[in-house]
Amino acid sequence: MRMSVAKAMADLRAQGAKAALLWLAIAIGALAVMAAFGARAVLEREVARSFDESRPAAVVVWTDDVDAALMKRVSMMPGVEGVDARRLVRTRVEVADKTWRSLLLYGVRDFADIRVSRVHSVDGAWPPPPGSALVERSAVSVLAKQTGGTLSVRIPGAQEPQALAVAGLAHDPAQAPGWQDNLGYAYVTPATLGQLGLGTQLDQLQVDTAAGRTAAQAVATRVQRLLADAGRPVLRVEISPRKHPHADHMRAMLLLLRVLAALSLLLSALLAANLFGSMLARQTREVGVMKAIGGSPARIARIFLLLAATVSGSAAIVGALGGVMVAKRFARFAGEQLNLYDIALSVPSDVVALVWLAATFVPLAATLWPIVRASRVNVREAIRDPGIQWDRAPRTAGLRRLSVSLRLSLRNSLRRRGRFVLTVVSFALGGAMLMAAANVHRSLVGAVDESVEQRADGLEVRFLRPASTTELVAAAQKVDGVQRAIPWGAVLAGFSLPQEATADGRTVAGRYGLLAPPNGERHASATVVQGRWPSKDEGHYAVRIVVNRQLLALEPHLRVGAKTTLLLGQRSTSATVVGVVEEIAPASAYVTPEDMARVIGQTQVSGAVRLVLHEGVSAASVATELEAVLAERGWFPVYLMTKEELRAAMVDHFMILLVVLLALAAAAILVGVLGLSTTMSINVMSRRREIGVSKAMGASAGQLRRLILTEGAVTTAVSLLVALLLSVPLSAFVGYVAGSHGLHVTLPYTTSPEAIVVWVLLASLNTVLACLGPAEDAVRRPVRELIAYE
Amino acid sequence: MGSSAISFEQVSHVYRGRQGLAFEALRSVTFDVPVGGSTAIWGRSGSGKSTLLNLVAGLDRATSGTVRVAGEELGALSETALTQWRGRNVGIVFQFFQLLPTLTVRENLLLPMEFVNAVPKSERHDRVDQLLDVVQIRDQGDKLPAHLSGGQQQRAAVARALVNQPEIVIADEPTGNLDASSAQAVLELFGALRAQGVTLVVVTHDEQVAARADRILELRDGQLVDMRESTS
Repeated sequence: MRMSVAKAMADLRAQGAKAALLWLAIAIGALAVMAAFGARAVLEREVARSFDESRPAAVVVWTDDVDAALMKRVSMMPGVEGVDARRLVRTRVEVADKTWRSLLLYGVRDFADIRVSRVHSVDGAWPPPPGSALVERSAVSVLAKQTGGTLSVRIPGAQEPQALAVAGLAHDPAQAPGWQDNLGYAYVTPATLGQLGLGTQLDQLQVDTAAGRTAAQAVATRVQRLLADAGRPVLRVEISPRKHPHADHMRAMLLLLRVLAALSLLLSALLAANLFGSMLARQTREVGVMKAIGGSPARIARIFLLLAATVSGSAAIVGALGGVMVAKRFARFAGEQLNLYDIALSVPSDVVALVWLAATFVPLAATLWPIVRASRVNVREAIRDPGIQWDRAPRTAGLRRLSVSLRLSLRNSLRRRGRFVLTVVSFALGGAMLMAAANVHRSLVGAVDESVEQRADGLEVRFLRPASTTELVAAAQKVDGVQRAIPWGAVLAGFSLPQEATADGRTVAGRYGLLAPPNGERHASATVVQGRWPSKDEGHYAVRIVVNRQLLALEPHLRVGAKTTLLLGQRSTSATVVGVVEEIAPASAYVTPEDMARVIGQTQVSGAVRLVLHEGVSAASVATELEAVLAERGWFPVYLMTKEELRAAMVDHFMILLVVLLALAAAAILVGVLGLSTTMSINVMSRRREIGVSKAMGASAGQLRRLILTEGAVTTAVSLLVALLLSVPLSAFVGYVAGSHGLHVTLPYTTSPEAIVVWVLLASLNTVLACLGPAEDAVRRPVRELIAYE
Repeated sequence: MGSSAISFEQVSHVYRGRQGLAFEALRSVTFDVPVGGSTAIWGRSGSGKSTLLNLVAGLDRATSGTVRVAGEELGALSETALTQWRGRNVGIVFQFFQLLPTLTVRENLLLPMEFVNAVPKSERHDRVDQLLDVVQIRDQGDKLPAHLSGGQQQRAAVARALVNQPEIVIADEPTGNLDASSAQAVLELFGALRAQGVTLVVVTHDEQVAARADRILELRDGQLVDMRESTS
């Protein structure tokens, strides 16, 4: 066996360039798989750890004041694992001169002993001294304030803003990053709430329970009974889904990553088979000699297998190590998108080992067929191997009109059918991946743009409480630049969980925007995908609601035909789901203005206004003036966003998917280009003798270049065509995963002409470079050398 | 026989290996081949006969000395000019036929005409038919080389060497891979070429093949050791 090892190593040295390319192809595949699976392992572990460490509340009950006695009694209930108290106050904060953003101000019972919904210190003081706040780290860019700065905060009901020092930064793993939603989070003590004139009482009883929704529901029922028995109000009850706000995004992104990494591995295996096949083709005569001197097919196969294993094993190690680094970088980036902080980036060793095994053995398995074929070659044929033979009957019927040199190029392209197919498939896969990535990228951004563009307004404002429609419209229309103010009904409402889940019928999973577009104003950016949009004229008893798919994903019981109870403060209204719409938006539900009046018990009021602006007017300056007008009238906005800000926020939410798609495109370009250039170079090199013969017959350098380039162009053209065809199902799949699983929208199939142009240009440039290098070398060499080439 | 078709004057050729090792394959060789004559370059393996043939065909360049073929001093020609000159003036018959495997016999003959463009397009197919008749394989014209016998492939190679009506035909061991009857047929074909006034240079280590030429140049260790008229 030692001689076999020596032979394998000598072969490696003799075919250094091809062996290096083979190594590179396998290393890239290993890198891609390691990056995807490593990032997945890190992210799944860290998301779970971070979320668990925060001990998110399974049940939140709103009452008048959560005191120590109540907390103690609840903590003694069966199934309760932790109890704490909190308060949320929606405020506005000035982030630049007269530019305001929403700030969610949380009152925390005791920073030294946070038992549920934990917040961690990042820097600065802990706890924040009275009169100061801790700012959530992901909101620093929104608030434009660091530790030591001062926040100017406007509180509902107060005329003048109040100063709140930033004592430090905190991390709240349960929040989506503030920069994504363009809002801030800050944490203060009850004493600071008191200083702000909000009172020191905390109204949220936060309860951590044993795992499972049933346990949470049982605890929710007991707490409500306890409060009722004590004569305390139950303002609202929420049972949390206990998952990260962006968990769906992450799941879709990780699924895409794995599928695409598997494709990369397949690509590298195809490339390995192709390259190894061409390496073995050069050794046909040697195989014949080895057999003639007694080498059995099995022994010869073992030599080649050793050679392939040496290359694939070492390449997989280096690729996997590189992949670990990429996985860490990607996990860090994705962690930022998910508001993870201080995450451990170590990739589990079992994942590294498994990926290394896959990256070694998948390409190795792909080389088995060329190895078996090479080791079984007939001795006589092997020894007299004159190089590449062609003994298929020519199909010249359609080619007679072409010049002989063009016929030669066409047939040479197809000469090695196996290699041709492998080259076409590997390059086409790369192209299809690039096109799919670009197509879905375009679909995503296009869907956002379309959703934003379909809105006639340039700015939307929502209020903490509905106000008189007439007054709102009149005030808004006085703002310079406003052409028209469109009042919308808008409140935050919950939907009672199904009766079989809770006996009380007042428990909700969360509160969502309940919106009522004015009659006659079509809600253009939402498409009805099930049921119908309610009309004001139809006779009905229950309120009719239409839910969007984002809400349906969170509250699956709200399917068309379902009966539910809309809970708004102490009011409850029976409702029937009559339709499902698809849109790019947060989880929301829609009703008619008439039904909205029934839900809130008031008429002639609106919770939101959308402003249509005069052409050329800056939405930002309108927002600034509007904010002042609203403050003057005592109307408190909880959401004020221009169309541009809305678009940016939507794109930020997709950022992680967009980055995955772009990374995929980059990997596709790398592997595809590598595949095409290597196989084309091999094709040219393997026919140097024929090039020499042509040169001896009088072929000029230009004619030879044309011959070789035409041959490369044939392969490239077929690859492009196959890539275009493959990109259709691949785009559909990636679009389906990104849309349905991550964003809950159906992304329209979009073709990116830019990606096609980029791929055609890249492929053409690559073909020219891949062919011209060896072609120039062949053209420059004396005919004698070319003809002697084996 | 008139003027010289080929003239070598003090021609030497040195091969240099990768590590700078030099091997002198031809040493100060001087000879002339008259127009229309047939010359055999004879010698044992390693004597330098293939090197000499490569220099005659312009497939390689002399290290020193002057090589003049078909009226051109080859050392003075650029690579492009050399290629054009070769296509118009020299037909080469390779030892292993070297037909392009993906082209039919007919296409193998058409390709050099396309490269050199010396024969008008309208006449090319007729010329191919004519040459296939001469080498007696017209019925094999639409077959791929792999479907032909060795003798038929060599005839096709001879026909290909003639398509551009060269002044000089050079053949490297033209019978080396043929059975006796095929070899005889090819040699008769060469006899016919001579009759048409084509200058023929054949490299061979076969004394019987060499004996058919007008003159025999014998090489040994890169030196021209004998130059004699054939007695046959």
